[in-house]
Amino acid sequence: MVPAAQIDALYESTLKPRLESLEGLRRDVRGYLVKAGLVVGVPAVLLWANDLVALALPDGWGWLALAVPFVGVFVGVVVAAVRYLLPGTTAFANYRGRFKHEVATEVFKIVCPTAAYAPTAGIAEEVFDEPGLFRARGGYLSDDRVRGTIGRTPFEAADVSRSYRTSGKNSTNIVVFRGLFFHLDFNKRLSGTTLVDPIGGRAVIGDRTDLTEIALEHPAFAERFRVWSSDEVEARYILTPAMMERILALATRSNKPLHLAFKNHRAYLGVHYGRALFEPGIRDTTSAAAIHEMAAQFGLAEGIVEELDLNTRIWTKDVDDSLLRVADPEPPLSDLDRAAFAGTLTMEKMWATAVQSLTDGEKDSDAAATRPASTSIAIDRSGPITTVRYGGTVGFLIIVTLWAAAVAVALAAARLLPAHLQQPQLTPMVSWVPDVPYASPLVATEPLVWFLVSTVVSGVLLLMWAFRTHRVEIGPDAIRIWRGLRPLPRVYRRPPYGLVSRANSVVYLGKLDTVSLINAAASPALRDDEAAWVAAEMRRAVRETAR
Amino acid sequence: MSPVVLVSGAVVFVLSMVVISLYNRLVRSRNGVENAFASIDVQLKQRCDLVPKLVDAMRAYMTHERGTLDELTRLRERAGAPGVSPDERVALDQQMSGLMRGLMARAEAYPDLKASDTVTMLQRSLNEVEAQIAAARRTYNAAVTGFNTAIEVFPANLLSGLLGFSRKALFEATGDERVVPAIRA
Repeated sequence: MVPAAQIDALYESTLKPRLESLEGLRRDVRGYLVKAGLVVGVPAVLLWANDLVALALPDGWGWLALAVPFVGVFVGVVVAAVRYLLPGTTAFANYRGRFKHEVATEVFKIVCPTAAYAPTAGIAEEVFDEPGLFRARGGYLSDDRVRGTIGRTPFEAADVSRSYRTSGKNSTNIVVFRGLFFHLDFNKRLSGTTLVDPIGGRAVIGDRTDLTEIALEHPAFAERFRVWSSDEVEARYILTPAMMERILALATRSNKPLHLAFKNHRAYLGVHYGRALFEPGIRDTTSAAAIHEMAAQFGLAEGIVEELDLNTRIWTKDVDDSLLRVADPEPPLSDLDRAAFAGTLTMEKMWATAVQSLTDGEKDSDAAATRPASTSIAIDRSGPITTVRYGGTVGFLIIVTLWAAAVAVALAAARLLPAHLQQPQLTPMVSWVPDVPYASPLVATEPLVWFLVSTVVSGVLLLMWAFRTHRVEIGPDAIRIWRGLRPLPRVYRRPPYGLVSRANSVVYLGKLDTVSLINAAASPALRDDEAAWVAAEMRRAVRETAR
Repeated sequence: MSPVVLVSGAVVFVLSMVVISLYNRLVRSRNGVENAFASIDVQLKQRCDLVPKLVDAMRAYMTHERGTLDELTRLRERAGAPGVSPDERVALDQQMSGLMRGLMARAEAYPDLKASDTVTMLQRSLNEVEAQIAAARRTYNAAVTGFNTAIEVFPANLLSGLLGFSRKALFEATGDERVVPAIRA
């Protein structure tokens, strides 16, 4: 362990001035967060308290208390996304990049002088999943990787977040592990798998059906851990009484749920913190206490090797440092990372990278440009202008029919409302509505409920067909999109327009170089294969007609 | 059929089911113990196989230990002979283990020996086998404890004597095995 005084000295002499130079960036990030929070939060609070606000309004205006904040939340979300999202993420990327490069790296250097720190690299997903400690279906993120040798033991460690997607209709993401994960060369030969779970941990951990639970003869250990293994003798070969004592000591020291696995001559150890580590503070300047915590986390690797006695190499297994050479010893830094480390990342750069990832993604390579077997979409590429006609799909006709039915029900119900609400003065407003066949008897008993439901349904259905994109023309000077009931197309000049991107089932048209988060829809909702084909064809048309 | 016959038939049936399931459980438990003992046996055999290699490697350096080395060879031959009972083999093994420990401790005094790769590797193999034996013994003891509990709890205790199950002894470390070996790789 590095003495605390040494870290204090580093903080005072080196880190503090550097953190001060990062203050401007931190304030920017916090500013964007606060502004985004205000534009969404204020209407949200008003919405929550609409009953109270309604009391303060004059009679008959109470509905405003609900309607205004409702619209306000939507507007707030859009404003936050358009105005603050991109500058906010850019500022954060710069702040985080410089923090890792200028602060975290320095802390790491004095704690682990024999290892290498790569902020953008992580532990490979296959390595993490190898022992089967945690359920694997879901997202995986890993960064802040440390690799090296402590004493005679090669190891790597990183900040890892592993989530699990439950199956079924209401599938949700559960974070099964988030914290520091260590991957170490074990000092004994192993042929089976042995897992150690903390007792009283989270519900979804991993699949243990292939393993047998083993009752070990150490009461204090059995109280805090459950052991599973494919080989009862091997489990005891690993978990000697001394080893169990050491694991208990480590669990007490770290005071966090500890997960261990032993497989293929390797030891795996996860310390579940439940949050991301080695991150800069946003609300306040990163404190000396946070730096001490960071040093303790970096130093944990050394503690683990010593606590688990992995430097004792008196068994036949030799030191195997192949884990240090597993794929990407240090992945080449992307331009984006390099810019973030220097704090010179700009919004344009950030945007260009995002655009590139949209257009260069193999998601829509030219190979996707094969016409799906069944589609009502027609693409005409004969002249200088490429025309995409989406046609009247069955779904479209169904929506129009449903809309007409919902309007009929709404009208029929409206006719009965004055009598139902005992407001005869409203009668002239609806007296023109004739008796609607089928609908009128249906709504006779509860006209108000029918009226409200059918109005909402017809409104949604109207939006679905009235603004539906039905035709797109791509020419050298402009892209024209016909939508819904408008007789004339909307014209998007080229440039700036010319970027075709796809978000799963919808194709969008965006500007080429400038920052804009709202892109024009260039298709209705399609099937994925149709959308991929349309996007690839449009992209080709844009490329071929570019001047 | 009279109700008395029916009821007593049902009682006999239920009782015999209980006895059968108890008996099966005890058999499973006893087989677990035997399996655990077999895994100790495998490890003991491995240690036995290390003896001639160790003796050969050391004979060249340890001129003053000839007596011990000869004794080790003799014990190993006796342990490997056909018709030796498990108890006898365990006893022989403990003698060999004690002698080897002593040898290893005295090996510290021979610098040439300590520098020999063969001897180092053999020492590490020995350490490994010792650790494996310790683990196998703990497994055996856990199985024996499980078995002893199974035959002593009610109602199995009423039957275990009749069915021929009796308490098994735990494997205890001998005095000289409790001493931590001074072996470095």
